[in-house]
Amino acid sequence: MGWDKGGRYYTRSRRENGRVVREYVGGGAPGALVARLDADERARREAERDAVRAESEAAAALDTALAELDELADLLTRAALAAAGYTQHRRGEWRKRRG
Amino acid sequence: MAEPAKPTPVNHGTAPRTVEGVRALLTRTVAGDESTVPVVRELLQNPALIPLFGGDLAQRVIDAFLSGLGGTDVGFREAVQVKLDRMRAELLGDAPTPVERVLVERVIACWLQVQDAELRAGRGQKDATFRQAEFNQRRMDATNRRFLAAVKTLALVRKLAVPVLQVNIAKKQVNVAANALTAGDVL
Repeated sequence: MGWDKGGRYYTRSRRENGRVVREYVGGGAPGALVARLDADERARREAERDAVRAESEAAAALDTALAELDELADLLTRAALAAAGYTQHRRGEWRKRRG
Repeated sequence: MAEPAKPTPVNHGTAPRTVEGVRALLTRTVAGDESTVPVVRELLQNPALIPLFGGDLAQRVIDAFLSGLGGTDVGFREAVQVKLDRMRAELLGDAPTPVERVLVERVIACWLQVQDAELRAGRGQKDATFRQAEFNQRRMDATNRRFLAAVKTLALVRKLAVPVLQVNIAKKQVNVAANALTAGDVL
């Protein structure tokens, strides 16, 4: 997207069947208007991407903290069961140790 | 041939005083180091050590989720806090052990994570891109799985702590608690 022929025509590029096709929109006031609308649309999409990224990062930060708690709680449970005389059978059920 | 290194016995007088120390000790117990068992048993009886078992971390996680869900809305945070207090009281029961306390805090943190995942997914549902919708769906599935696993572990610890109740019916001994332990008790 941009101005061609030394700023006389506003053009857009798009991909069609794997090839880049350039579309001439126009010059002067109509070209400037479409260029502004395109710029607004790009800014909107960029803001949307930023928001999505921020949202995902915030969620990931919360999940990381919980994963640490999860790991510690599992370790505590396993140790407590082992200390109480239980043993895990083939990574499955917990059984009381004999003897 | 050199003999395999023997684990250093745990000194009762120098029981760990940090989260890292407790973590190292518990790891040794899980790995089968019998010398740690008496110390671990002693530690697990002490409610004052709950912060070292993950109690502090759980509180930080819960606070972070509350901030994430409610933002600066104090009313919302208070309402969720009341709900959490009720849930906590219900799950703890009458005489929870320190391990149960930590596991209850984990269940609460996981419940908050489920709410967080559903709220975020619902909030952006209308304008979500395919990638974002997929991320939200995967996160909701993962949080639900984690929540169920946390509840299951709490139930398992409670069940295994139940003293074996023996009932004699017409000279036939029935071991009630032992029969209740089935192949489903997986951690």
